Amino acid sequence: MIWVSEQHLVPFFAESLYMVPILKRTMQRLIAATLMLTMMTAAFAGCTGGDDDGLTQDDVDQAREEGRLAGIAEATPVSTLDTIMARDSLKCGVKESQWGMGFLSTDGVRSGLDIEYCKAIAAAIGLDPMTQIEWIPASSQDRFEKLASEEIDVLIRTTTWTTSRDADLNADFAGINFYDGQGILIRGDAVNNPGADSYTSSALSGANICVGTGTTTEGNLADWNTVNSVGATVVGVADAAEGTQKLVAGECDAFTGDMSAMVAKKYTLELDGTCADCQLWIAPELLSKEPLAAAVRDNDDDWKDVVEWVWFGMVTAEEMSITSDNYATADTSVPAVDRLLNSNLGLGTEANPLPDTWMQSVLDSVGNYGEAYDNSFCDGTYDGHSGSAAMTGCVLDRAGTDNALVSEGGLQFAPPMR
Amino acid sequence: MSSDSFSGRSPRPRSDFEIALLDVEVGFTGRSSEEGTDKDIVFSYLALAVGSIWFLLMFSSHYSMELSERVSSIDRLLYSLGTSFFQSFLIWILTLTIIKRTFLRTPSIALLGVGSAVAVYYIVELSLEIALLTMRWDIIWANRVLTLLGARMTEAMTQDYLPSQNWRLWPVIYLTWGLFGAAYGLSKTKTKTFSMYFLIGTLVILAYALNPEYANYNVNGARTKLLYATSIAILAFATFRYYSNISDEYMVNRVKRLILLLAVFDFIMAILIMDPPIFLQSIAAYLELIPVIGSLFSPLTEPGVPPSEWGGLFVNIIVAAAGCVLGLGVGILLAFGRQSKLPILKWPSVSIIEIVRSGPLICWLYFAMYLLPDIVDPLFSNPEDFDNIIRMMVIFSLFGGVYIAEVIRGGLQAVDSGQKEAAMALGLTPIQTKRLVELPNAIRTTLPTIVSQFIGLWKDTTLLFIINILDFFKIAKDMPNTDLSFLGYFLEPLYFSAVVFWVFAFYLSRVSIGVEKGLGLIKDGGGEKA
Amino acid sequence: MSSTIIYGISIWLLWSYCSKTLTPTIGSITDLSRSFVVNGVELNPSYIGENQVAWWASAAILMLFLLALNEFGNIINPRNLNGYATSLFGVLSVLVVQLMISILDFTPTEGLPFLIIGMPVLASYLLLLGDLPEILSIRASRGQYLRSGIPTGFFILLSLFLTSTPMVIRQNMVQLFSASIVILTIFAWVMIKSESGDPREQDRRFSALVFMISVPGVLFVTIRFLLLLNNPDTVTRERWNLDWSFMNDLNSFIINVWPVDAVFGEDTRWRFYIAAIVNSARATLLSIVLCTILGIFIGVMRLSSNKLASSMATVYVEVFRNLPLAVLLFLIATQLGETLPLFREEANLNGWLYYSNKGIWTPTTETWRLGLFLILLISVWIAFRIMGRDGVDDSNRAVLQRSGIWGATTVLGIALMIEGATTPEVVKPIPESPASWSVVESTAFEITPMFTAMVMGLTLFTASVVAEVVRGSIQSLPRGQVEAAVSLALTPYQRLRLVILPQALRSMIPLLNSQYMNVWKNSSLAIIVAYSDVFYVIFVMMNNVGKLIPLFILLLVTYQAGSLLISGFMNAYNARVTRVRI
Repeated sequence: MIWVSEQHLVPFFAESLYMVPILKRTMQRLIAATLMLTMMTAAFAGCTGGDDDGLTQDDVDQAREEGRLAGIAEATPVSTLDTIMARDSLKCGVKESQWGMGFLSTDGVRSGLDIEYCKAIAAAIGLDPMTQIEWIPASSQDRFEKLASEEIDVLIRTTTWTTSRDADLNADFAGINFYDGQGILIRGDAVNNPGADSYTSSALSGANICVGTGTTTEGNLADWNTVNSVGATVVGVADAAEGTQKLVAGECDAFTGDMSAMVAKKYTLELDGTCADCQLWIAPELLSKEPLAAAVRDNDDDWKDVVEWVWFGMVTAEEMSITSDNYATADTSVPAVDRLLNSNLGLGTEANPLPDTWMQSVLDSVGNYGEAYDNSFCDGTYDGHSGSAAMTGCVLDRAGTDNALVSEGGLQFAPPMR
Repeated sequence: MSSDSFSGRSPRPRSDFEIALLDVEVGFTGRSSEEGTDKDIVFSYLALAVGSIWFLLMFSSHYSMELSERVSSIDRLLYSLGTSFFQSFLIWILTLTIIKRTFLRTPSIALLGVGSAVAVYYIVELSLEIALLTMRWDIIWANRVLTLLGARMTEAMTQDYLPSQNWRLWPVIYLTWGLFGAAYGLSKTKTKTFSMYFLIGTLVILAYALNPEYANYNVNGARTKLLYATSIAILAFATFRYYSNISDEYMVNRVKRLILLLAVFDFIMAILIMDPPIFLQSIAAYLELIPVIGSLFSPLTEPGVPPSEWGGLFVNIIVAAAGCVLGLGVGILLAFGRQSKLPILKWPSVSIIEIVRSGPLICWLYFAMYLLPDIVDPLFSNPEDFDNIIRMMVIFSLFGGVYIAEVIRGGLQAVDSGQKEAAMALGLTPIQTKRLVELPNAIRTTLPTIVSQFIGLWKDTTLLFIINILDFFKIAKDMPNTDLSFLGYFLEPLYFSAVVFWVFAFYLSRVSIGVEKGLGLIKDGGGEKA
Repeated sequence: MSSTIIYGISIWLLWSYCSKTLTPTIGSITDLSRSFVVNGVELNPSYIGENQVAWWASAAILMLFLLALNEFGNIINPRNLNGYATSLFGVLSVLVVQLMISILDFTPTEGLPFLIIGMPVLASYLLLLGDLPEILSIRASRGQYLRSGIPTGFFILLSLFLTSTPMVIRQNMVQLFSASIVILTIFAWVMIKSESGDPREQDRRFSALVFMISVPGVLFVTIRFLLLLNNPDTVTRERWNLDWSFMNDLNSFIINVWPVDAVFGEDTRWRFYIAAIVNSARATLLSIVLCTILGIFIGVMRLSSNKLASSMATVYVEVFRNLPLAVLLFLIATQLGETLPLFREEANLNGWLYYSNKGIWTPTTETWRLGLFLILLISVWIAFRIMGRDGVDDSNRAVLQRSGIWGATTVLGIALMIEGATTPEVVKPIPESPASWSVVESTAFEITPMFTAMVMGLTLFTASVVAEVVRGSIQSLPRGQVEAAVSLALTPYQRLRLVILPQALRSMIPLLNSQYMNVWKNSSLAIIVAYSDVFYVIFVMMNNVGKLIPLFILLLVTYQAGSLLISGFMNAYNARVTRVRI
């Protein structure tokens, strides 16, 4: 390096002599400023203490970095479970307008089967379901985008499991929590109700049927319209709220969507007395199968297993008649019960295994499958083990539908938990 | 008052009331065929009598009308008053036009008068009927806090398992009210005008907030706190008005600058209090140890409400304020860049301005939501820090800044070149010239247009609902579907949100006119005779 | 004291900005240029090779460098090589670097990033000194050669032999470069504030300063774009891939368009896109026409001497100017849905016009009659232009004559259309189910409720602004003009046509131009009323396909093209109006 004295410094870096005093002043100021800054930075750096419980975001980044240095551009992706535990909150993509599945009331309380499922997952991984869940509203048009861009960890929003979504959209489906079909809610004063026995799809000829854009129901409706030569007019709406408003105003003669949504809508509209002369009725046919499942991202196996087995655990608990009231005193000498309540069966990641008593936390906060269903669709008085016929006050009965347990003739089945 | 060829006899002297009455009639219905005679006054009184009789008749018939029991007596009274008044107004104008035969002398004015009166009557009748008789405003009363603060804050307030977070916003409200009073105290608004409008505004706010019907919050606590805020505002107004009366203008200007800085601080404080970042929490932990006032800071040591859970009118105000404040800065930089002669400043500025202006705002909101995080994620140590609300603030600043840049550029071009030459002669560097000579001049001439851009940004915050951010408009329009007790009240929340947005925008436009008058920019022209 | 704080904060900001942008840049450069081949298969999905990376980065920096040099004016005299020698030097050095990279071996983790980031820093240093023009014309002094040449040589040596340098330099490249940028910025700032030298020197230094500060940002954005286009994560790559082949697939949702047909299950996305553009265009055009008429009417009413009328106009303007358009559209759509009668009530105007909340059906005629009517109107207009080419007769008699002929033509045309008109016909296939009743398609022209709401909302909103523009331009006329017109005993119509309108139009047209462009851009809010315009269609496509950037670019291009069209048309009209100098 060339050492230069102040005299050489002048013509070297400054262009005229009277720069020197200015230069000196500026240099003094700068040195003072830099010293101050160093002190400030040190102070702030000291202030930012990280939390030392478990994994931090830094460790997660370090893992990624090591993977990258090993020559693979993106190492084995970090499991969402680790990210959730580092962040200390669970981000669920949910619905807010469907009573029974995902509903937000005006004092901010959420209810519904999807909400219960999400709370169960949070309880299972050790978070407080009341305060450590971030509820992110996901509309039917942007839910997959939100999932793919990692804005939500799990999408539990009455989303139908279809091939194209599984294959194309970077989503994996875990835990079918509701077996639904597509139904049509019809205004009786616009389309005469011919009665359940003489109903044919031609009754809807010429009617305006509203459907949400971007949903599977839209495609199903179009196909049904063509195949059965119904001749109905399909009107697209942005969301269920707009659809309801158009139905009540009379712009639409019918509204189609998941049957659970149609029943819930009919129930709430009749409860309130809105559209009292509408004479709402629901068509007896199901246009399609709509298995509603939770969705996680592709290639996220540990997290997907957790999401899936939380649901299966709830179903297993009801099969074994273990409820939120009696799990503490359950007979753990029975090996199956003991496995359910006191072991984590390998679920979770290496850094964040599920606690052994994860199922107990789930039962404590949400209950088993029957109790969750009861809290969402019925009056909440179910004891948790007497069977679907014992549920009272149900808007959507579970007995005799696909949503009952296998022992009752339904489809809710849990593989063995061992 | 001289003798007129119509009658040949000079009329008797008229009182002030009669002169005013005749002026009003000429303004509404045109020139009378009997102008300047006694018959004129007689006809005016006749028309007034007819109008009043009609008013009384109509009022009694409307008041005893068959209405559903829902309608309260105040509503009934207001409706009857309003409808009867405007109907009798219409009759009065018709009578005047016919009796005085104004359509013979000034046909266009007479026609316009009758037409407008008919239109006014129908519009008022329709609005009153909708507002008072058919609309059921219960859904608004029941959801006051939800529309103001969003879902999480409402949940925290009404449910026990979450601590209430409403205390976070009261310091901000106190400071805002205080700054409001101070700003008006230092301005040239007359005390009488300010007191009148402030009183009306306070009464409206109190009536809205303290209606005990459907209140899911503590009304008495709210009353106390709102009265505190009002007294802070009045106190600030009085102090600063006294100060500006006894001080020189340059001192007042210094204080004005201080108030401006405090306003920016207020905005930053709102964001920091709602969600204290880690360093603020640690500072609060230290400050807690101070003996007496330390307990004030203890709530700040907890993490607050994350921006993804903010909602309601609060979100609209924060995003609009960020757009305005940051947008002004961005706009100034882009304006100077665009009109500079250095290509390295000019071409990037031009491309930014043209690209951002080519798309509508919705486009850019979508871009900021889904594409911008891809680009800037590596800059954040924790990518989730780049929240929805922060993204919206960034894109609103950029969008607003681009339009403000165009406005300021026009202002810069209008600066007299003599000013710039004088500055150069005085030895100011180019940067100093820009900062001290050109920019103040440009802002002074373009301030009204800049304020109208702010109004535009405020109105554009309604677009946030398209990307699923729970702002005031989205909550309001979804309420009829999510509030089980008030399903089906589709129109009331829409009208309510229209009114709320309108009030803010109207207030800003009044401020803009006041600013224009203060800067002496209003000119008079001709053309009324057209 | 406060200036020290400001200096301190700015230095800290600059430092964090440099380190924050340079750290991921180095990581990305490594990712993009490291090849990891196992059994002949390239396992690094983001690999594009060192040459590509260096090429794109240098191209971006070169563009910036040429802008900073500000030698574009000198290319006008191509003979004077010295005028743009530095630019040529810049281009040449980029080519040399490319060559170097292909021949020599630069490690992806250290050598390549050092070269790519170091070059701009060196360039900014040379720019700041400003010795290059003189060095290149071999007129420099020894001091200049030394102070420019030595760091250049040092840098070249370092980059060539980076592996032999101590670890400290290699592991802290970010800090090294950030420190050099900060120091260079400080010196540049000091030199600028010294107020010495002629303005050209100051300009050069300022350009160099801006160049210096933007280097980390531009590098970050360029390399980030490269990484996004070749991202290991397929979803992100899908989002950013510039490929429009998916537009040739069948579309997956239904839209409601006229007159271009787009059938679900048969037509490609391109067709849906074109149909949506036509939809947007017709809503915009109709709104522009209606809002101009309504705006002029209200603007003139505001200036009338009838206090009632002018206050009503003021109320209208104040109300609609301050309402957000989104809220207004929603309100109109919902209110129309509630207020208009149900279809089963068969509300109609004398059998000619059926209106309901499912739509409005007007009578329709055969297309050739409509065409004939238009041709009639156009020929009358041309005839009048030809007759008036030497000067239009504005006397009362002539005006009455002309109005008479226009009136007669209109009546004739309407009679022609009515003769072949068909009224809407309601058929009731299932009499008890009102939902099945419909209007036979060929007998009526349907206006959907979405279109009505959209046009109403846009018109009401824009008319208030147009009214203000009209009032402003008429009021800004000098008072003397109108008074002179009155004193010349011109009739009101003559006053308007000959004196007020020509002058007012001059100031109105540029303002109306920007308002019309706003109407076009505001038509993107059609998503609120579920009207299938271009933004709605592309929005749903984005959510179905996930290819965000290609669709986003389509959207920007569409709106820009529309704005340019409107702007061009208005500018042409403006040129015609201002042809006569007043």
